[in-house]
Amino acid sequence: MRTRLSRVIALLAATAATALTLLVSASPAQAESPILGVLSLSAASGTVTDTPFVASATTNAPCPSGYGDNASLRAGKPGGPYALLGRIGGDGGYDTAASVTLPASRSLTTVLGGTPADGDYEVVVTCSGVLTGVHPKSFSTYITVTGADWRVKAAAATTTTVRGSAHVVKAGRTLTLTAAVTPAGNGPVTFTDGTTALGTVQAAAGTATLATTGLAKGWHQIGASFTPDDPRAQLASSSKCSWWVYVY
Amino acid sequence: MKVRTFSATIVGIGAAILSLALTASPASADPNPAPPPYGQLAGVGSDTTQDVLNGFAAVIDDASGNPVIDSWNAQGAALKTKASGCSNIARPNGSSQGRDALIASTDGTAWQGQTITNCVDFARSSAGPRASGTKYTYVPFGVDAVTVAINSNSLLPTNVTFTQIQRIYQCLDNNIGGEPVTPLLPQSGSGTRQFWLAKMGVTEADISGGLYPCLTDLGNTVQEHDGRVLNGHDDYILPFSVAQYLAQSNSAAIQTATGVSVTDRRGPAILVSVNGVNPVSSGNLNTSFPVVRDVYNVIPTAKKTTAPFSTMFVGSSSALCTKTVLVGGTAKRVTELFGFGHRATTVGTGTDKLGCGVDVLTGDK
Repeated sequence: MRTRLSRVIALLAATAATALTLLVSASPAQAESPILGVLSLSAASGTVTDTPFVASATTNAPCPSGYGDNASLRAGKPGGPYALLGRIGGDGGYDTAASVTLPASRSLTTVLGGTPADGDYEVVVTCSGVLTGVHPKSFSTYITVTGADWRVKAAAATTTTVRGSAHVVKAGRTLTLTAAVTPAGNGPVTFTDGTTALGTVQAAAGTATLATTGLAKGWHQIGASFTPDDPRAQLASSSKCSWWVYVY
Repeated sequence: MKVRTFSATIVGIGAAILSLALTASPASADPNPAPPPYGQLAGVGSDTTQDVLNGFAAVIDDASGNPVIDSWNAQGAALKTKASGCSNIARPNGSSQGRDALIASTDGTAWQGQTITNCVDFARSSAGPRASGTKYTYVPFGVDAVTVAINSNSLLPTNVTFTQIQRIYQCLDNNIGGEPVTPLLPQSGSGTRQFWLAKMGVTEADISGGLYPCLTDLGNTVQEHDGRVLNGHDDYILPFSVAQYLAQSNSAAIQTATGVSVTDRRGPAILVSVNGVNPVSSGNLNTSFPVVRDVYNVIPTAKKTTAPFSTMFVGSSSALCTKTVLVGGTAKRVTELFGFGHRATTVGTGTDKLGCGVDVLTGDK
């Protein structure tokens, strides 16, 4: 009975320590996503002379607060400048609606000022407020033009693996966890102990590390999951194999 | 109306042919129909309401079938307003001069050096009283609205907020949603320009002083009520009278029903909603639009209970508040055929949104 009680106490203490660890060490530099979110086109492919280019495009989130008076659907080379694909939305409230859907009225050829060369282009929805101006970021998706056709450029799959500095570690000692993302990407990596989050670290060039001293005694199944900063370029992934560690 | 209807039709056809041949500016009989016989009420003043008063004059007759109203346009040659006397009167151009002429006619003072007593019975005015008092009653008969027009090919939004448009006309913003805009003004002295600048919080003095460098009237060439200036310019925004826009879109029906010629000069212009309110509702001016003004006929208060002043202008059952004509077999209010809104009853407690024919707004000038 005393043994069981002491185990419970130990578990509670460990949980508290874990929480403390999260508070203390989970303050990674949060690199910002280059975009507000992703844009879904009503068609995944078409021709550069289709008029309109697509029926509509929908964002995956509202415009940022204060930037909801106007929204516009545009296209251009990646990074801009972008020209209008359709009439600027003037209904307002784009920062409070769940998403923003805008119609196109022009073809890609018209917007790009002539038949586009083969390559990647960007379709964006920009948000603006009367008092705040145009938000520097936009909702975005990439398309690829090949000849007379275009198609949405799919994001690349990624693989995330996780390993630790040891399989056996004494309680209170540092265990360093490392996640590797291939192809190398940037974005937050969340380390987990079973279903409990241990912390989130920004991956740089495909690598993220988290040092922890707070694991309770016993077996732990460590995992990692990666969320890309730029979901147009990469897909999210999670470690398929866990790193097992025993704390004594 | 019998004799004058015929002559008006001939003149109307003549005018239509002239328009086709020369694409000339509006050419209606002045007044419409042309006297004689002379009507009992001679009106002068505002160009904004001259067409609709010409329309009323054409379709409202007395018991003998003769027109009651003679309404002279703002511009043209000197006037003869009555069967005897009242000749060679300098033509009042606009709301202010129209009221000046009415005052001269009423109290015997000179109008441009000439005595014109009893030569003018009412003044068309698109603005309210210039001085307090009770000598004259401003009887509203319709509602005009002003919004901005854009080129239909432009991708500027078809709704803006009032704040947004004010900031653009105050040169605080030069774009909508990142797309550049160029705020135009109609020519100096035009009623639309005066009204619009007042709503925008901009004064002519400050424009002259160079405080609003973004505003342009393109060298004073932007004609009021003419959307053709937008051709080829997706960035232009232009204040436009909604009543004029609708009247121009109804020009064929107006010609048929009243003989009044209104030239369609809208060009590629389309009207923009403000704060989510469309200036047009079911083909008529939306009196709930945020930027509206009442239009008036100004009459001597002493005569407001005397026919035909009372029967023509005063009260919700007056001729100007009720007269309809058949358009495509359906009765349409003359006010609305000419693009003005009809407000049946007063909105609010002020005098800026009066019901049609309400006689509570007065002034000495």
